[in-house]
Amino acid sequence: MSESILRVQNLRVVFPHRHGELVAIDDVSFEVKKGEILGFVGESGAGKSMTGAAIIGLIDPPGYVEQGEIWLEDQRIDQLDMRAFTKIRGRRISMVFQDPLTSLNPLRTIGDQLIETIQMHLPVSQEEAKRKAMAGLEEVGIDPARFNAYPHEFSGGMRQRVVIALALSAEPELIIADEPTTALDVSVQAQVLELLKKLCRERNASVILITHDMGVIAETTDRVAVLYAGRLAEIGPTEKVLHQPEHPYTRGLIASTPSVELGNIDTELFQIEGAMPRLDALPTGCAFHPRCEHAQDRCVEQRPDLLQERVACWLYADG
Amino acid sequence: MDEFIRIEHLNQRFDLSEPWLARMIYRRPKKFLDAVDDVSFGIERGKTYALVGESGSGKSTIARMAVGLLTPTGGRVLIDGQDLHDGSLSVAEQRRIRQRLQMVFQSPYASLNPRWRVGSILAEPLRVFRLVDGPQAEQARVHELLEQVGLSASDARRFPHEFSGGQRQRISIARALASKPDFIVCDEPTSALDVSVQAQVLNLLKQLQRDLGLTYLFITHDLAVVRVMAHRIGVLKSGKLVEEQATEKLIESPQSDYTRMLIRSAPRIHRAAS
Repeated sequence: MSESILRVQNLRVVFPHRHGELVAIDDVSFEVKKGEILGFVGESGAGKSMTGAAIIGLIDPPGYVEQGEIWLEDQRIDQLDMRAFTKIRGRRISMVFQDPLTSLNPLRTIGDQLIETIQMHLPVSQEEAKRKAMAGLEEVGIDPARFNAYPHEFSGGMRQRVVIALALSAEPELIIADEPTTALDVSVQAQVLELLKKLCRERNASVILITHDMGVIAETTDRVAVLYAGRLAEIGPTEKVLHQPEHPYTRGLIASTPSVELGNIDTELFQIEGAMPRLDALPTGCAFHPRCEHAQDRCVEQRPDLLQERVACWLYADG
Repeated sequence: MDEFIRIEHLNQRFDLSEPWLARMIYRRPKKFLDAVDDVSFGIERGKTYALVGESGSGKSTIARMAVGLLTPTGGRVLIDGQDLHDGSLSVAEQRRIRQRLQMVFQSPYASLNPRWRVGSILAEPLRVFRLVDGPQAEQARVHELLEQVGLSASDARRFPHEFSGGQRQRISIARALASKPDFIVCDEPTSALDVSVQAQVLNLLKQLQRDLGLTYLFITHDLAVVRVMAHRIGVLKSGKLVEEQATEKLIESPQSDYTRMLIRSAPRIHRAAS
């Protein structure tokens, strides 16, 4: 159980730019255990999606992985060429995107698309693939009678279920779900997350869940990694990080999230002043220091690394 | 009860019928959709009323009718007792009423003209409603507006793309404030923003309400946001108001199954031990 399916070490992704390079991901290391749901949380521009794209080998040029290693079990995958990677992408690692309409082909029935994916990755006959596709639809709660329906005939939540069925159809070991429920209503979001959780538990598949919503993290993940400006700010078991957050940014994120259970009209929400820095104007030292209420001289001068593999903040340097 | 706006039996029916010829040939009946179906509520002066509901429930359609961007197919919108849509108002009266009603939209990327400097964006309502005399007064008012929303006077020379999402939403708020309105409709004003920035914008809206005595109609799908923003909540489902109540009462003891389901589904960081 504690074996890891994915290991990422010192990942650094850069985009060449007129005036040098923009560092989108900087020195990010983590691992995903088998059967685990790891959450990536942070605000726009923190590098959540970029990390996912790096793992699955889909960073848009001119960006590239400059440094670091990505291991899928005992195979190093960050240096594979396009051909070799197609054996992994969709087969061993698959992806669920935010907008189901962009991942489904509007001109083909969902059954067709499922069969195609299954036959692409698994050595099965047409009939066997169809049987599997039907079973897949049933698993995600879609009536197999709608096998020949087109994507536009489904609602947003149903489409996302189809996408999940597609992602699971080749029986992958790791699923990267990038904001899978952001476009959905809350009630549908709850169903889709529940479904994703259940199916992954049943198959002992691991999930990297990328979201900006601390609530979704709390309800879905086992461990969580908080990203800020391309670096890991904090990582740990979800329970621990949410109840005893250490990094001032994590604390701020949690405190500024309104709660349906607390507060009233007179409540002033906690606010983190300022905004995430742009990649071409990263502050020196700790990237969070201009917004941090605990910033000391050291934070301006020196960049903190992840201490005890938990939190990247000088506040905890002497503990 | 001093009500600023009263909405009575509001109705919006959209015609979704096929073209006439197709209907004749295939003998199809006309098709209608009641996007808003007999909705009534009032908002007290200086208070916030939130409409919550899922996509397609008719929230934004009501918002557009409340400020006069869309004419209802039935019912009335009364502003201080005057009917906004019945055609009895003269052009000048309409103009005066519209000046008091403003709107802040969801996406600050789509609602600000990318080719205009912020100063011009904010000066447009001042000119349209002839609120200032001469360029100096105009500039002074623009600077005042920017400072009111936490930006600086020098930002007037910049273009919208030079600002972050949260700052752009501040510009939208400043533009809404330019005509000195009494009533602002906020249509999902923070759902495109990150949480830390969302908190800044929500706090700003609350502070402006305290300082200027504004009345808000707040449209959102997020019950957690509503909890700290609204005095009263109306829950919409398929164009109908299913429940309406003071905020805490509605969230603590919801009466309808639909409201209960919405509250239960809201993701939360610390779920009370169950």
